[in-house]
Amino acid sequence: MTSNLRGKVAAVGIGATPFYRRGEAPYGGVALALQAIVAACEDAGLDPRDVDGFASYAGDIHDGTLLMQSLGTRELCWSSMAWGGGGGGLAAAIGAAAGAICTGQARMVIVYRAVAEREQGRFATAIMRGYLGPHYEPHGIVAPAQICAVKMQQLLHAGVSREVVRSFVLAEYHHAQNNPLARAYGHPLSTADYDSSRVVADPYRLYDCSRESDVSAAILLTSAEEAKELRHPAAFLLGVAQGGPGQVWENEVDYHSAGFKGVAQRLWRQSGLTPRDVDVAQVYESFSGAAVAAMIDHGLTTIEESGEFFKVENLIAPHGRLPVNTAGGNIAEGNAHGMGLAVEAVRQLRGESSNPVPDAKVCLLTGGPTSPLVSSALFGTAETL
Amino acid sequence: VELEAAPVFGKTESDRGSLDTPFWEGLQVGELRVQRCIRCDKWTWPPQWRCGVCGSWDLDWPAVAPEGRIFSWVRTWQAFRPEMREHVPFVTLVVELPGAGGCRLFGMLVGPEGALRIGAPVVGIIQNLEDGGAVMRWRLNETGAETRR
Repeated sequence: MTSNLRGKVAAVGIGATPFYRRGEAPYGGVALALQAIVAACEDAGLDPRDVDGFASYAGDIHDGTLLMQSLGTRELCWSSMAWGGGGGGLAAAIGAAAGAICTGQARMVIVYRAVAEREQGRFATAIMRGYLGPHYEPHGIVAPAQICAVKMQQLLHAGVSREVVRSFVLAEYHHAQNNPLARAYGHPLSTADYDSSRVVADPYRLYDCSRESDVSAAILLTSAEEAKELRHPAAFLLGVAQGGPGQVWENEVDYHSAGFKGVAQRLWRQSGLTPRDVDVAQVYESFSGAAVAAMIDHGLTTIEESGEFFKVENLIAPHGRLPVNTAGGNIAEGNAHGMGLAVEAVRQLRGESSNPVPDAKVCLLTGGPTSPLVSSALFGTAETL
Repeated sequence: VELEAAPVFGKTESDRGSLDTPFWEGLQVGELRVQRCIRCDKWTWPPQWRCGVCGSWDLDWPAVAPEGRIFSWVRTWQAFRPEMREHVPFVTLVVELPGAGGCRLFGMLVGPEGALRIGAPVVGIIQNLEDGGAVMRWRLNETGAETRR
């Protein structure tokens, strides 16, 4: 049974600032968020004053009420924060916005995330605030890279090879070479470069880690009816789901998974689609192995078949079996805590990606493996309705 | 890393009166304590106010044998904080405690690393600190029974 959300809401505008190196943006997060939001409105051909809702995640400190005066907001109808830390709330924020629109509580909701070191300090420290403590730090666990490495170790034990994870990273760097907005643009990565890079937290090497950036990115959602009047082909929301294992402190029952199994089941049920219908995927990866686990959780492949599935040629546009992170992802494009992936999902369905997948109709977007809450969304072109 | 030289990063105790205070008090008197529901005997970690299995609000903190097996591990090479520079690389384990329903705790590995792998048996040693705190370390237990998960 499909849900009554399917096809009712669409992404009609996308906007982003450059991916600055961490600490190097000339502005703080509020200015970055405003720039991304206004860019998304201009992209849609809509007046920023008409944005009547704000949705974000991961405890973003740049809440809508701080932005209204600069945006000239006419009426605030919605604001929501998806709990759960990490990038897990990425699609959950989209789901909250969609719920507001579907139920008539708001008309135009901006989903956004802004990250700037000058206000929040180092990204990893900011997002781990409240998550670490005396059960982690005395043992030397102080950074997300280490916790994700512990999970990766279990994923290797479960039968996923290091080569699988490397292929994912190489595909992202491949895509970044065609994306002038990517931090890794002009910096191709070879297998040998990857293999000889320094180990950060074994089994993770430098290139398995996302690029901490000062950046904001945003997508503007409205109803399908309004979307049809606008200048760009809309990316319709076909399904969106959030969930979490409910255990923390490395006591998750299904530990080597990325926590998406229930989420994925609901996503397929809502959308009436199956993993085979996905033409291109934007998969959140603070660290590479998490993306592989997320794809397995969504049924795009299995642990047993992962060695064959995760070959670089299968993962790249235009003709790979399932091109992933076609702008370079958090690892090679830059990390807007995942919002860059949402922007790229919309670009793909418009045919505007720097690595277009020909005739792409369905794009999967995932948020936040290895965080207490995870979420996913499926976007489709008008043909999928 | 040898036990005496094992570094401690960050606080080794929660604020007094926290839900997990009995854990730290246990280590200070030489016991590894894990929370368990008095009514349904279900072990729980991290500690909780209420047993999510049976709904009881009565949970206690039995001492458990400091014997476990490696559930997962990480070898940290990057000094994420300046005070880590002279200590990297070091290995941190996630240890599963069969004596506490499979609850898992973090802990740094001390001693020889020869048999470091998932499933390897480990034995816990409490390191007493000069400030009165205590922290659990783990050593590979070559004579213990290995398990494959």
